[in-house]
Amino acid sequence: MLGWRCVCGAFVLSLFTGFAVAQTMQVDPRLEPYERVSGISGSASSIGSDTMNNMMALWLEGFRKYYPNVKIQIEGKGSSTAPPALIAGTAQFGPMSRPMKSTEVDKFEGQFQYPPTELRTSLDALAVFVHKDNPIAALTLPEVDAIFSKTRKGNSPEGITTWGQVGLDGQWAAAPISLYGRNSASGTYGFFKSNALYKGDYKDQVKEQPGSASVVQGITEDLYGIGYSGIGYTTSGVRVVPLSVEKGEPSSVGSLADVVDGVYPLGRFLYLYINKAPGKPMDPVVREFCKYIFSKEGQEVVIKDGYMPVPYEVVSEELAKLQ
Amino acid sequence: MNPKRERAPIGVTPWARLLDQVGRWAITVGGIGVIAAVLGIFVFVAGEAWPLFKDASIESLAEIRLSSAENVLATGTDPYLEVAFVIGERGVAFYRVFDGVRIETLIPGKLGDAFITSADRSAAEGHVGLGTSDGRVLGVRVDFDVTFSEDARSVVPRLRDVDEHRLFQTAPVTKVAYRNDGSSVSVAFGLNDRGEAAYSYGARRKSLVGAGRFRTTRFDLADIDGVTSLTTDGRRYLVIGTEDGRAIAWTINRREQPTRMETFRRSVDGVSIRATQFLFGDETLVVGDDEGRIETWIPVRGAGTSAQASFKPVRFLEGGMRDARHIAVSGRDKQFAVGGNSGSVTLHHGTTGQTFLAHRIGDAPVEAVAYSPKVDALVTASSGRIWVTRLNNPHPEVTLQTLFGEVMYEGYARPEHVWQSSGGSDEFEPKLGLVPLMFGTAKGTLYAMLFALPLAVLAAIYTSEFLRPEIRNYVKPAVELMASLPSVILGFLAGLWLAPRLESGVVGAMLLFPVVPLVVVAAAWGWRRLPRALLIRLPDQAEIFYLIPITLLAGGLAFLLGPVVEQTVMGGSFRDWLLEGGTRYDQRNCLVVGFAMGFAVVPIIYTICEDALSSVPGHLRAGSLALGATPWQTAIRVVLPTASPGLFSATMIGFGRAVGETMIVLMATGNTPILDWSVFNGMRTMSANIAVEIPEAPHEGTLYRVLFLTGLLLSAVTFVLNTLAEVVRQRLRDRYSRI
Repeated sequence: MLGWRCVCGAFVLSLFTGFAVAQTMQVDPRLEPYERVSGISGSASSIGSDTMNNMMALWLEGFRKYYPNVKIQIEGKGSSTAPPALIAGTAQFGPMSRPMKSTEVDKFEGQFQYPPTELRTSLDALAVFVHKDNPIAALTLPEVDAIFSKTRKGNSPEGITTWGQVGLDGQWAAAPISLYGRNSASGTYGFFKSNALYKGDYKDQVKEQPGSASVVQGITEDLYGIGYSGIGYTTSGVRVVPLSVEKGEPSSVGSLADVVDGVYPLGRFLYLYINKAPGKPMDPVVREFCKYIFSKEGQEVVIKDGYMPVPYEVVSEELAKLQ
Repeated sequence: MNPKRERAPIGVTPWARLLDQVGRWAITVGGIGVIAAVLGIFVFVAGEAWPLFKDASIESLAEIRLSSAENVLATGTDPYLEVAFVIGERGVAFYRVFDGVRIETLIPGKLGDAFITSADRSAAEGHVGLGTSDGRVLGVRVDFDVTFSEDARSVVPRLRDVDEHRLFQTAPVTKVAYRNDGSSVSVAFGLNDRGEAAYSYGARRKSLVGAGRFRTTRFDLADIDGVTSLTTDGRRYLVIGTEDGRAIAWTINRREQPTRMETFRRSVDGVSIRATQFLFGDETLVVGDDEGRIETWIPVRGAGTSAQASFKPVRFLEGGMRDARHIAVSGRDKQFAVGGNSGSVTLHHGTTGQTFLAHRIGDAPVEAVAYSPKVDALVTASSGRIWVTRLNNPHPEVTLQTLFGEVMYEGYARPEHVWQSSGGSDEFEPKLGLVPLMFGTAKGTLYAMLFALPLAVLAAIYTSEFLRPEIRNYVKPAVELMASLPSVILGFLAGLWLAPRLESGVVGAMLLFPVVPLVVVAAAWGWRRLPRALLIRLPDQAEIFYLIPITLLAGGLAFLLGPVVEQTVMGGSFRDWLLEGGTRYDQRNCLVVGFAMGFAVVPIIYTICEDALSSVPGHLRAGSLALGATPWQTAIRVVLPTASPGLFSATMIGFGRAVGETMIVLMATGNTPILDWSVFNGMRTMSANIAVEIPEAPHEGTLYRVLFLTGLLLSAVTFVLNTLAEVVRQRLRDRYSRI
């Protein structure tokens, strides 16, 4: 009985912390609703980020309410799979949770003579997760670096390997920290490396999981586990650790305001890359899908999936790129 | 010989003969086809990996005569090699590459009446720092607006003012280092004609709308003289090189006064340092001196708690030049080019320490050298001309040494074997050490075989020699059914179901190994003590029905004993006890992999072993038994040696399966590329690594080819193993075929 109550309590608590953000969040009122145009049908495919997999599926679901004849295949194995797919032409959409590297842009340009078009679709916060019973109050970014990195570019004096080193006591004091992370193909891996590890290197002991959900699953099953993933993957079995940029700075669990202000250190854009030849008309399916993403409805989907909508200024810049 | 011999025997119809012929042809073609296919795969894989080891080459693209004879301070091109530019004292002059015509000269808006006295374009994204004759450093950006119309591309050069630092009141800036992080922070570090050095930190207040205000803070650097070169990484260090060959570093921290660190490089016979530059990523420092020595230095964190880093020498490169004056850094990777007064340019790589080639322009001194933005060309300026040279060096970061040897990477305290192939940014230094992967494959195979081999071979001996045929007819297919389980399922179960459970009961699981055999042996002894009258009345092989519950009970006992042992011997927590001994327990470990992979390998070894044992001719057994040997003696001394070729090949095939197994290790280990034999942590095998990384590897990129190389290594290993196994098997078979 008691056990159940605890589990329920934790579940409600995590629901609260995870979605408190979502409930107060609203799309920018200046966004236009989507308007249907006639004669859109056909198929397309999307290959890329695992983090954005759900969101792509939800966008597609919403999009198909307007155009039932449109079919889009969605595959999400990691952001790094997007550029090769766009170059080979096997995908028209390349969702990525990090910006393309210049070497990837080079490869694209080598094939098409023009760069790919980058659309900033939404905002995400990367969360550091621990097991739901872990009592840790908050971590600073240099501490996260010392936990995950062997090069410690955050200038921590020494590496952190036990929970006692970040101030936990009792059974936790001597407990070794068990590290979970994403596979190197994912944008999450790269983003965390650039921002939380200050471009340093991961420890060899970080267990690489093939998807964001399996990172969370791994931590759920591992009392001493810690890992990172998109905040949208929060479940009842894990807890989001509040993070602060430096010691003494306020810590945050990654609300929209904190992400925009930079109080939360691990905020990022989620991108959609498309192959748009300059001066030539776009494939109507691709064009309308992108317009849908930047409509009021499309941005509401973003909130529904646990991410954050982009401000109106960004939307108008991105829509201009589609002209 | 006699052709009549080849005739089919009388009574065989022509139709059958035809079928015979067709069959023979079909089999021959099929066999050759298989060999050709295998060879083809081998050749393809080798062909994909081969370009890794190709040498670099260059090809001259254009030689442009400059329209004014002024000194060139810096040079460069646009990303598409359509426009080259030179920075002289009056501004930036742009030339069309294909016909050498000057397009225009752009002058920085803030230059005023002054002129440019020095330039540094080692900052990212086209940022250039221009030192002026009136003591300022102008941050500008050389940009190229690219527009597309139909099929043509047009590139229009632009010069944008970014920011401005005042270093000196009036004295000209003779040497400058400039960094801009592209968003808000820029620093300038300069030297004037009186030998005074100054550093300025400028930052823009972050603001979502508008540019924000730019504010600079300036510091003097005292007590230095004879400065011949200077550089900064923009975040942590200022570095100068001196006339007498010393290199000195200061640490900087935003708006704080720089603090002087140790003189990290002592004078080498008083030879002057001529060039200092940080490689892309701002981790490795390259120092070039007057006698052509080129060295790389890396700031390494001090041991213990001191956060203070100090520069450590990493490599000494033999450029073969008489002097090293200009260092150009690639904006994509760790390559750099060095130009000297003798008119030649050499190309190097920071991670590998390799010198790719030397390229001679002429006899006149090189005035400036630069990489194109995509690092596919080199621009060299000398005596009123610039040369644009195309570079063909797609895989500079790979040598046999970096693949198989220990490498001193940026930020590491000592040379190490590391696999960490991708990062989120271009500055990332790929670490492509294959040793951790080969180690992981060996480790995974070893633990799988440790688990599977005794189990499978002993089970096969038992089923073929001691089990009643009626029971055997059920047991063998049941074990073979295990082989039909897809390895993804096994991996999934092992990773998500077994691993957490094993973690809580690991001591119990470890106790299985001593407890079960002990209990079973004890039970067997007990069986022999049973009254003879009872034993005779029991049906043949009743002991199997006695042993099954005993084994199960023993297993249960082991798990019951687990917590007790953990409490009394290990002080309550196995994990902590292990950690005290210096080993960490990882949830995804070799124990899990051993179980899961063993599960996949056991049926294969078992089936082949059992077949080999069963096909030992019955007369051998009968003879042995008739001579008075017990069934055990017969099995061990007669049947086992005769069947040994079969047992051997069973082992080798199981071994091959374990080496190549992908999905189980992928899902059940954490894919951690560590070098540790401990059974309590994981590994990253070559095959799992290919599966994880091939989707992200850019086609024909370095990682792609290195993955193919690991594939080649894997097939080479299995090829060698199988050949060896076949040779040994043939020998054994020859030896026992006489029986």
